[in-house]
Amino acid sequence: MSSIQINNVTKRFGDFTAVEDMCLDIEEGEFVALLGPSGCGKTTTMNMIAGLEDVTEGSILFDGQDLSGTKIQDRNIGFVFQNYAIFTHLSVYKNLSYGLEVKKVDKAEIDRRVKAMADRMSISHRLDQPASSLSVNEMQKLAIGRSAIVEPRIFLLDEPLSNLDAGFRAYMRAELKVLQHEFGQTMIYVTHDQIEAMSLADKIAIIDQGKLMQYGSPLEIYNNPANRFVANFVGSPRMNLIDGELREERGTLRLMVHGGAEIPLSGQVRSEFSSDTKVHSGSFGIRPQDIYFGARRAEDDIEMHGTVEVLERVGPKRLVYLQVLETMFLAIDDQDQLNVGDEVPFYMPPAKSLAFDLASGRRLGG
Amino acid sequence: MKVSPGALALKYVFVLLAAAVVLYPLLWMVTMAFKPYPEWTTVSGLTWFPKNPTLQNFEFIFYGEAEGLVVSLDRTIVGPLISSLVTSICGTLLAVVSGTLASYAVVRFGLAQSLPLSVLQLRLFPPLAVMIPVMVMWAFIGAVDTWWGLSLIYGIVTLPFAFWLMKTFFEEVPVEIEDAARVSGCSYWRVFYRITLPIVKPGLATCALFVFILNWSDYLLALLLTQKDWVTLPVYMATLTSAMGGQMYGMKAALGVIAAIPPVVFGLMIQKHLVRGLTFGALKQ
Repeated sequence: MSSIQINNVTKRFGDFTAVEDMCLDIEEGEFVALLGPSGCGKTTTMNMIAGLEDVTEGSILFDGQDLSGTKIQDRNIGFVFQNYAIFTHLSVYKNLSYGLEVKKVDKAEIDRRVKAMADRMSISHRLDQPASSLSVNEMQKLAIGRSAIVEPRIFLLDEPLSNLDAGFRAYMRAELKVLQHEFGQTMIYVTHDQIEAMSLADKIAIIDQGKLMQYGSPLEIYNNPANRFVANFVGSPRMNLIDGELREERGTLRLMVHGGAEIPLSGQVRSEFSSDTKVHSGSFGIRPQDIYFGARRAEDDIEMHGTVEVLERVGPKRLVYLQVLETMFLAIDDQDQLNVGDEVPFYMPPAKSLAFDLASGRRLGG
Repeated sequence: MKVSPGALALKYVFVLLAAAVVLYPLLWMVTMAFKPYPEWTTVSGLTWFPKNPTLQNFEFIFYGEAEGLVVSLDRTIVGPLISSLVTSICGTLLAVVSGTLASYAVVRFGLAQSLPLSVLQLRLFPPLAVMIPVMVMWAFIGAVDTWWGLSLIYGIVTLPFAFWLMKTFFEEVPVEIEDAARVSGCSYWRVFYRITLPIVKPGLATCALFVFILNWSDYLLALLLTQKDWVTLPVYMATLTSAMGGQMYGMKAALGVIAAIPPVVFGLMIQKHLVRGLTFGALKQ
């Protein structure tokens, strides 16, 4: 078990910068998810931690110790690959024992540990079969078992669940969480699926185009996105992000949206938008579940009117697509009170609304 | 899908026809090998099967003379057989080993990216076009009519084939499998011979068989680069004529039968891999 410090790490492939000035502090025993869209540099970051890729600039410390000069085979790292990378020419047993054999562990000890691990991953009945005969689900278990058996100092998982069917994925998600507690190991998990990241990780690092966008606990990231990218990326359904020009008119600050819609800003969000006088165009953000219908609940809640365009049933709730001139707002109707075509007022609490600078994507005021 | 009996019959007719075209000369060769001299030609009327089966032809090429034959040979099959085996096997080893290592370096480490095309150029012109310079070079280094001289040229000529074939096999191996082995504590070299090579074993076997057959059936290179000591089977076969009897068809057929044995045995030995090798793309990842 190790703590990891990533200090100002940059990785370039020729002219292309895959990771730029990345800083992350990962505590011992923590479960950290690297979350971001495809090609954002999260796998590169992981490969640098594992030592599969060299670091161009900066350093990666394990327990305060720089391992960049240590060969990858001596780093003692567990790595689960997206396509599992099972040794298909070997038996399941040999796959599990491989890392131990390389490390020249005593034969009886190997046998004991392989059997225990196969038992733990419930693939004991498959031990003598060729690994190529396993189902995808069993390959996944084998891949995790093979990495865990050597008791690595850290455990890296590269989108391990993305090839699984939905049911098994949910099961594996829970199972991973249990395993992490059992192994008590520092785990780093790469994913583009925010639900996985949210449900598994102690901390999430959100990465876009090689840069760290935000690093914090799932709740922190959800409630307090540091910038427009994070706000847009995290949460399902997605946050409403309405872009427009800021204009002061008749004593009210308004966000003038292309197409004619106007958002009259009030309360906290208004002061956030006006906190930087240099900002002239902004992005207004609110989560669909924070928009409400019916009676106004607070004095300074922002009121708007829209037409219900589409209703989409999602379990007991319905997603509401509200058209305000050319702008679409997404809200949630949990009381089945709306019909398609209704013209309704809706309200947005300023305290739940977020202000971003459109040009830089930076969060304002908050 | 249900196939109609007519379509099925047509399919079998077609398969039988194709098989007949392929097998006809082979069968003719095998039966010819057991025919005595008078039955080789139309003199006594050609038949499919020997009227008086004999081992005379085999006896003749192995001992240089045979009972009932007035002609004799100055050289038996034994020397050329050994020569063919030695040079084909050495040439195959040379091509497969260096082709495998080179293509692995190109595929996995991105080294020498111009190598694939320049190696291909070796195959873009017929070997005959460069044979005169090669003969001069071989003569210069004393490689003419030696086992190593012929093996060397076999290795060189078949290297592009081995290189390109192995390259496609290595490209199929997911890099993560090697990374997984490295993370488990393997050095590069160990990853190569304990993980990657076993995975491409079917491809390796297929490659070796193809290269061996290419070398084994070569006539031109052996004709130009050997004189006496290391004459190979195909060259030897061409010498089987006599001033009195003309072409010695029976002996040639017997020789053909013997020459067919090593590739067939080799093929049977790796048959299991051969199917895998040719359908390597189906490797489960």
